[in-house]
Amino acid sequence: MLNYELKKLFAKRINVIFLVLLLAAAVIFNLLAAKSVLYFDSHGAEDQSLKAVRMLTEEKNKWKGPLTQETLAKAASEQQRLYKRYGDQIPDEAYVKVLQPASDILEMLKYIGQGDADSFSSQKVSPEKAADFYKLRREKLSGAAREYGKTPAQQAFLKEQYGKTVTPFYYEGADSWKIRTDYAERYGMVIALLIGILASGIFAGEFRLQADSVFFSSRYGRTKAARTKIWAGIVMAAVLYWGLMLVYSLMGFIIMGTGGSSVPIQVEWSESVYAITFGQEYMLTLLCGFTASLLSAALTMLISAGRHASGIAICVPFFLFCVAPFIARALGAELFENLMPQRLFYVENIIRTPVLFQAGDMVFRQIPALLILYLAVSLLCLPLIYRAYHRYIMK
Amino acid sequence: MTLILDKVTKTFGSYKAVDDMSITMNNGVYGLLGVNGAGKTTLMRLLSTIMKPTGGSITYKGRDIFKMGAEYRGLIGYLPQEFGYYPDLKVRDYLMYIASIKGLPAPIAKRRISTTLRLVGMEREASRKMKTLSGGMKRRIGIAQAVLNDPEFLILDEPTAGLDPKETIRFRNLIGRLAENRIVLLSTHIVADIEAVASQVFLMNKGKILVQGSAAELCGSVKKSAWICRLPEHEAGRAAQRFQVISMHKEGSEAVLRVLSEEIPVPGAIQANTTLEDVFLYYFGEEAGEYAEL
Repeated sequence: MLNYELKKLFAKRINVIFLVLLLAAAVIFNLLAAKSVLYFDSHGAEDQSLKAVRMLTEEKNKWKGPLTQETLAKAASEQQRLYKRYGDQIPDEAYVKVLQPASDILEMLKYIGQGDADSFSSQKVSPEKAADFYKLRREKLSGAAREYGKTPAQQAFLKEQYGKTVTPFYYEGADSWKIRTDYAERYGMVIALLIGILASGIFAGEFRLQADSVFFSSRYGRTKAARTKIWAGIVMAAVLYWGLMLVYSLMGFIIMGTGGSSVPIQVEWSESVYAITFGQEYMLTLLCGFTASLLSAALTMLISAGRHASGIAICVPFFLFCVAPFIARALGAELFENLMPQRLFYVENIIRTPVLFQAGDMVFRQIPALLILYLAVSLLCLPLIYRAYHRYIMK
Repeated sequence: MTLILDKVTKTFGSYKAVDDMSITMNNGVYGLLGVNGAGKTTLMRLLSTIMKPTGGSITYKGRDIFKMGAEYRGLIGYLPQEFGYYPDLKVRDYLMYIASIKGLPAPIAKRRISTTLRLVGMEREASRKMKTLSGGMKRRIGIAQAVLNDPEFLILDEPTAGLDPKETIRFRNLIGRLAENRIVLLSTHIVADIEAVASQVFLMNKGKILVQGSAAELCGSVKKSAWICRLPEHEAGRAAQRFQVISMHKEGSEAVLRVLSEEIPVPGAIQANTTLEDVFLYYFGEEAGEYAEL
């Protein structure tokens, strides 16, 4: 039964066109990702070719390995040497040779310079201070825990999470993962919106085609067939989402490479409460996108099953992911805004700043809260969809 | 196998589509004859459980069909008046899907589909997409899906709509074969369909059964006789105003009218055997005017 339900779905030419468009979008997003990196070749010219990411990674891999006190001091020292010699007029060749490969490390060092009256930028981080990076970082994170933790439980939670980061950080060029994640979020939203459109037809099709009389007068029309339709929606969402993301990922791996997956995100986002690597951040992004796709499928199936039409159902994911965030922002409700489903497409933004939720003594981070909330909403929709079909009576 | 409708009523607001209807059906072909809006389709929808009656009960083998639920639906086959299908599926895939929601295991379904396609003369079209079929072919597939599960109770709403004369004859023969060991309820406003296959006829109007019985019993219930009148063409109009005209056609300079009248309508008129068409006009009068061409 499931086979034929899926066959019904993908026998429609418009749905096949959607699939082709999604595959084309995977290519386009990968090309945009590969071209979005800022890389200067040895002559100081900006390279916008598809090789740019790999070249930049190769350059940055000169610093590959654990970021020990010595390594950090060396990076700060090389930078200091350049600024002492050239001031703000660093020649392109020197920039390309010294600053471009160490740019991530120097950016990371800025964190311990922040807040000092006379050391706003990393240019002022001395090699001695850079050698003390981990100690100074711990101190700053203690302050951050006090600043972001609104209750003692939240402060304790933040300290615990900050303590989970393994130091010294492992480092290698991870730009391919950063860019891949950025575009995976956008691609995920496109997939989720189209999954909503496809799913809306699963329960509205019988009514649109006037095939409802035969369907509901058949033995399993209100029971097994309705359950199968729900399964078809979930299977469609899962296969489509993971299949397309696999295509997107494989293309990205081929174009941009895979190096840097083991680098902790704290190299980029010092105050992140997620002790994960760039590779894990990418997987988390995909998981959040999948949750959004499931939500999109479940809600459109529910509305189309209840209304016997797909018109409004198709608009719901678009409203949730694209319009509702503006309304939430306009209302100024922080909690509401932080729990909006479109947040599932902004993992990179979420991991930068510690947003916490508390229920009793339990403290949650934003991503687990969003995942649990929207998986639960999706699952809760399923019996309601079944009920709408199970109890169908023509008016 | 007895299906009993006991004081069944279905209202839409203040409008009674089915009004306090009580009928009993055993094995055989039952024809449901009535003009548009008589309540035939509503009755069929009630019997196929896609609508619930406002009052009364419908029982099959002594059990309420709505309480039987899936068990009852497993015993019926239904061809609705508006037969919707999945246009992008191939005929065989469409029937496989219907077989699966009817609960037929795949191997049995495959055999049944081959047999049924042969039965409706569509075996060569099995690989065609539903949307490429002609209206008559779609109707035949509609009949095929209805009989796929070898139902005990077959509900056919306007099954011959869109069929050409050859297909109609094929369909009537098919119904004749299917009639054994099952109840077939055939709703139509095409009198010839009923006349050809139904052993019992229900004449329905305004949600009620006006009269029921065999075709002969129904013909006997008419208090008027059918007459064939040959009149000069210019007198035909006047005669049509005076009598219930079943049909009228020209033969040379004469108009030949078939009319209903208690006594000889015009001198020289010849009395004819009463048919179901006469019965239909007799009971539905003006409402049946649109079917005068029958």
